[in-house]
Amino acid sequence: MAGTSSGGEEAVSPGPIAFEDAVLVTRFRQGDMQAFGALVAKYQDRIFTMVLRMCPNRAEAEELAQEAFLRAMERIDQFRGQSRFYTWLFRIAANLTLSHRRRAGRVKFRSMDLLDESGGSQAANLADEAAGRHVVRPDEAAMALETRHRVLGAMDELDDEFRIVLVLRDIEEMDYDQIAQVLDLPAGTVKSRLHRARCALKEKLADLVGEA
Amino acid sequence: MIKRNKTSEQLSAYLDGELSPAEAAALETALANEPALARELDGLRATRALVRRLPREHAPDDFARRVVARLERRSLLEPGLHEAPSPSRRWLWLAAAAAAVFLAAGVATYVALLMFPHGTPPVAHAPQSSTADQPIALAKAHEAPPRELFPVAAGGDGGEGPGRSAPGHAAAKAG
Repeated sequence: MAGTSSGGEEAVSPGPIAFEDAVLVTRFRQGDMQAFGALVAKYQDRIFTMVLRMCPNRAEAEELAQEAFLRAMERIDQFRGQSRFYTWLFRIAANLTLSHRRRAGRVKFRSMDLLDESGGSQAANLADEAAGRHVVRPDEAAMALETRHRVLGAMDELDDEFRIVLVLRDIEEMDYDQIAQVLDLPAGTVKSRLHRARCALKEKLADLVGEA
Repeated sequence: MIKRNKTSEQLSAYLDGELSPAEAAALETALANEPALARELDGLRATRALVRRLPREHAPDDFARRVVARLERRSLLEPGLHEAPSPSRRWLWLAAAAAAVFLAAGVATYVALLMFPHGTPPVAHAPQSSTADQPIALAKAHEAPPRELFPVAAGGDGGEGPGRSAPGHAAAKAG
């Protein structure tokens, strides 16, 4: 595929986070399970969020996220350290999630799971807030449950190939090059799909967009 | 129309800061001259804001513990699954494999010399297959010159010498 090598790794200049990950990966390769646990703890929320935005059933999302970490660790010898570990990890998680969705025939979970997801999420957030674990961003608090439900529902109607680009950009905040690496797509395709995804979403949420 | 679509497609990239300075400047000129384009940009900005305001989810509290437990369980079921072979271990395996091949070749040569000290085995003793009985072996020996039977008897793998095609093998390959 254009833009990446066969292994999907592209040379990057190592920053402090990449360096920290490289140290943990090396320790895990030497048999240190605590290093593996540290990598999971570091990325579990981001991977879980990405998978959940693609596959709104929480139980399935958790299973897929766990499997992504397991696959990454089982194939750790294939990680050559030329790309960021987190890009490589997201690539595995995205492939796993998209394959799962294709196999499942993109079953619609909306009617029950979005309700469960919204309500469940809110309940979980309340519990987290009570426990002092969940830091609520001001903009997050401002988003009414109904609005959240609408946005998630509209995203769920997008085709997976468009939705994943939207999730990686607007939720995970990756830049176009990172998305291209994760999805093994040319950057031009990422740009085009993202725009089409936003246009489709804008149409579905026209009343909310007008208010915003 | 194509130009309009292309300009429209630039809007998302503009919002994301993914245009080159020249592209951004060109788009800003278009935005200043086309109110419809500017409205489209506002709509895309508002849409992006809605998605960005979705809450970050949190993996369950015991997520990491469960993943580690699953990895350990798999390691027990499939030993070596997560042990990337070190370069020295890889070389060790290659050396052992090479030694085994040389040893097998040496033993085969030694046995062949013991059994056929004069080089050519008697035709009647050439086995055609593990289940071949003597009359069939003799009958086949009459069908072809003894010299051509020898490589089959000595090599036992069908051979790849010139002039000896193996239709079954070829068919198997083609299939």
